[in-house]
Amino acid sequence: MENLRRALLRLLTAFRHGRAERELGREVDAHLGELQREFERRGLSPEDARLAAKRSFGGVEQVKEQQRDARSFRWLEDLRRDVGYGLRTLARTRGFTITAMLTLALGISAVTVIYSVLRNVVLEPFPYTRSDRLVNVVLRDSSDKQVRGPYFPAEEFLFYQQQATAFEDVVGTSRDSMLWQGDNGAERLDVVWMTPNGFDFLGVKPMLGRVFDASDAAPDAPRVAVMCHRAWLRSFGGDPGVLGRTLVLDGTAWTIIGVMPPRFEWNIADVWVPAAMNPADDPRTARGTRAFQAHLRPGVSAKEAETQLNVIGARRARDYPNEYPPQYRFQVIKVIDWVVRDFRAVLYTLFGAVSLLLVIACCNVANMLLARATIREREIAIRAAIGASRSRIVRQLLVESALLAAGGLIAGALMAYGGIHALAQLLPPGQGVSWETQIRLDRPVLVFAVIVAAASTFGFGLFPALQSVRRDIAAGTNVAGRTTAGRRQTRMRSGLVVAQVALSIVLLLGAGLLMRTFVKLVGVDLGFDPKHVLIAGMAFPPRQDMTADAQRQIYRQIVERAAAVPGVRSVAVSNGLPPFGAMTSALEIPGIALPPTSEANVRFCSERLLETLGIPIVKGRGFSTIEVEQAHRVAVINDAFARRYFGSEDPLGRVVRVSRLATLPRPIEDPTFQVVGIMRDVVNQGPREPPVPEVLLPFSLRLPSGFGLIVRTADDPMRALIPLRREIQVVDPQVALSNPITLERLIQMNFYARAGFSLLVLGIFAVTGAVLVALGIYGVLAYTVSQQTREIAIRLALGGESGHVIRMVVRFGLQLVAAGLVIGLAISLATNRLLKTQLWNTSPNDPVTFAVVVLLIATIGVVACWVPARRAVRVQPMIALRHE
Amino acid sequence: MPSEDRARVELLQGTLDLIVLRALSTMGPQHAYGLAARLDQLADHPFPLNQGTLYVALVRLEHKGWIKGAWQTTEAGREAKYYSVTRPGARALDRQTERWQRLVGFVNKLLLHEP
Repeated sequence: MENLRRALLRLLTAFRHGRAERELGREVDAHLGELQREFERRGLSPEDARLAAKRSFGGVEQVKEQQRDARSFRWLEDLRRDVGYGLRTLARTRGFTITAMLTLALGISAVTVIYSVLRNVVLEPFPYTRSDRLVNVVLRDSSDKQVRGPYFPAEEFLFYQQQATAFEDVVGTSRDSMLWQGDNGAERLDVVWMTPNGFDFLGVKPMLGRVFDASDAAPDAPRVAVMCHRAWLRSFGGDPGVLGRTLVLDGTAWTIIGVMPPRFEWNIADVWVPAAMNPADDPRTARGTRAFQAHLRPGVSAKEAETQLNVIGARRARDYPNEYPPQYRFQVIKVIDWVVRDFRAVLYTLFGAVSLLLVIACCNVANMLLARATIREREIAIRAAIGASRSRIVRQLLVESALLAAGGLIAGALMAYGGIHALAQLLPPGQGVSWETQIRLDRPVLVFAVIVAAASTFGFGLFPALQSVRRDIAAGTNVAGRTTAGRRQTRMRSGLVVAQVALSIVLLLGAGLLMRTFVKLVGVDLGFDPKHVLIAGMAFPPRQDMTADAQRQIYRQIVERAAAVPGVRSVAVSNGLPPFGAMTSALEIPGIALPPTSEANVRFCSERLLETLGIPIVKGRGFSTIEVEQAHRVAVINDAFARRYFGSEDPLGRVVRVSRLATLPRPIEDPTFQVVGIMRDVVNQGPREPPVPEVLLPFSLRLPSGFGLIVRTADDPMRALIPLRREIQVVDPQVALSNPITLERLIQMNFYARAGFSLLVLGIFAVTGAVLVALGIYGVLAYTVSQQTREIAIRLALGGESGHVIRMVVRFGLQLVAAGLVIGLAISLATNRLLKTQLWNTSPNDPVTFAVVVLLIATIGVVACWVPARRAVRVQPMIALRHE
Repeated sequence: MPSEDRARVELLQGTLDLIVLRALSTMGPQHAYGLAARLDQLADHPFPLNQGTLYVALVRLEHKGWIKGAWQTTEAGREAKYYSVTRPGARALDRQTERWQRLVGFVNKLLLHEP
């Protein structure tokens, strides 16, 4: 107990050096004073008494030293002193300190951030257990087209599952959209029917309440529903009292029994409701086909599962030959691969780039430390001469390096946290990033980056100490101050600079290529004007009395009222979200022999769609209002259609047969239409692919059905949302607008988000790399120049030209840059090929990009060389000579 | 003979606590000089207690909480630090005394029974 007390007090005293020292001094003085009094009492003079007292006492300093050792921990006091000294030294050279810390911070945070993203998005995007064994099954035909799957009729998939041993368990889901009559008006919810084992399958516990099980799926069980976290926040404000409340969906009441935690987004539902595994067991379940996912049994590979399924499928195909194409195969794909697909390539590229950045950063710091080392050799030699032990000097340098590293690491960790937040906002969910993904800092990577950075800092920070103890101390204080070791150091530093330049080139070229791709992508003419357009779905509740006519009238009224809203320029109705979401159909054109695989996109719309989207008519005309109202058999085709299927013939007036329409659940008899107009192509396959043939038909042909509302406004489209909702409520209070979004945002999310993301991230790294390189070059040259100050001064004093000196320095620097350039370009030729998957319309060896990057680095090099050169010649010769 | 002295000092460290505690408990509060003078007086021959060791012992005992130091004025009007035994110190003194006596008794017994 008392030993603990002693230890604590010793610890405390280590930080109270001043006070303890003063007290000791007073105590010893008092002691000496008493001794002196005693000697005076014995008859000595005051002066003699004082001396006698001192002799009698013994060595004052030795006594004090002993007391100092006993009263605190010396190593702690030394450490404190070292830290103080280190801080002061670092503060004296603020530029170096800040640059070094910033460099370390950048390297560490960049690696950590991007690896965290990689881990969260690619490696572990789902919170579900066993997600590495989660698979989708699809059936493909001989041309590799997807025939069926992941949606299968329940009894078919259950047959596969029972016969195959590859699957551990299976979950089936189907999506539905239901109208919810809530307190705040009508809203459409995405409802997912899920087999009762679903929550077990996914292995996630509910946050509130409970999830459903097999008993809830029985035919006469009360209807229960589990809510998604996001929907719960959005529609119920996160109120825990939601349990037990009723949701009236499409007229039926469901009781909410649970809420899932965040990140659980299976099938991106607002609400999950139980459905029997086999719909024959429960007539309530909506559809016969379900999307099926399965877990592979441990140890079973996807390939094995495929083999099993092919065998079983063959057996079933004998009984149901119509359901299988003549040649088919099963494909089992891991869901992770399915979702992440080629985003993986993006992230791995970025990780490669970022690792380069860390290396560059460490090179920079190393260089800076080496430069400092040489400058401080003198100081260290003097300290050794005065009596500092080798270990003491090494310790002090270690402390300094540690302080530097600590500063860099703290800044790096902070930047990493900030960067993660920022990046999480930028990431495009749904585009290779699963909805369940949450970007979090990956701690092991932070630790790794910290270790790497710290190791390089310590390693290079110790250099001067190692140098000084190896060489003769006297040589260090030599006036000349330069030895072979110094030259070796310069070579090492020059090598580092060359490496930095090379790596920077690789980064810059990569970023440059991505930039070209992005610019080209963005420059693609969409074929329509996406600005100021609002798109929203309109869906009707399933009403028995809704006839096509009645619905048509409702649509007409909605369109008319919407058009009258102030700020609205034009309103149209269409299916899908143009330019996406169209159906495909085979084609026949009487009088023209078409290959059997001829097909076109089919879109149903009102007469003002082209006007609303800003698509011009190339020939002929659009629909008229009467034609839409009365569902005339007229069609508008696009340019691609005309060119591919009509060739040189004039399409106007010709008839086209859209075969698929005759086979729809509510078939359209004799689906022949007369072409009345040709519209310009839009990028209906995205900006990277050429447009496919497309045909527009009046939407009234497909009523009753749900269509989307497309509205062009004068300014911000979202501001029209509330007035539009009001107008729709007036026409029919049970019709709701769902998922409103601006066309611009939709385009951005689907076309550019991923490319933009890559570009942004890589661009940041490339710029940082270039900055670091500039600093690196500058550092080396500044040091070289400072070492040659004497020579330069003499040269100038003897009448040399400053221009000549500048050229000398610059030439040295540019040699390094040139070497780095050549190496970097060589490496790039090899590595740029890796970027191919992300480039579009740009060759990996694009000469323009190469030229720009080379010029950029050359310019940076020249500037970074010129500044120290200029400073060198401005130094007064006499001052320079005296400086030694 | 510095090495001899050193050996003796190390031997004493364990018992030095005992000596100082006992001295302070019988003499009452003392400053460093007073304590050193008294110990010198008591010893038969020059006591190899150098001041360094004494100061170390005082710091140690104070950190352990067995003695307490207070600044007071001496007769000469000087400020000095007076040490006194604390209650835990008194208990420690008893413990150490008992241990010493047991040790001494045991060693004496061994010495007496030498053939």
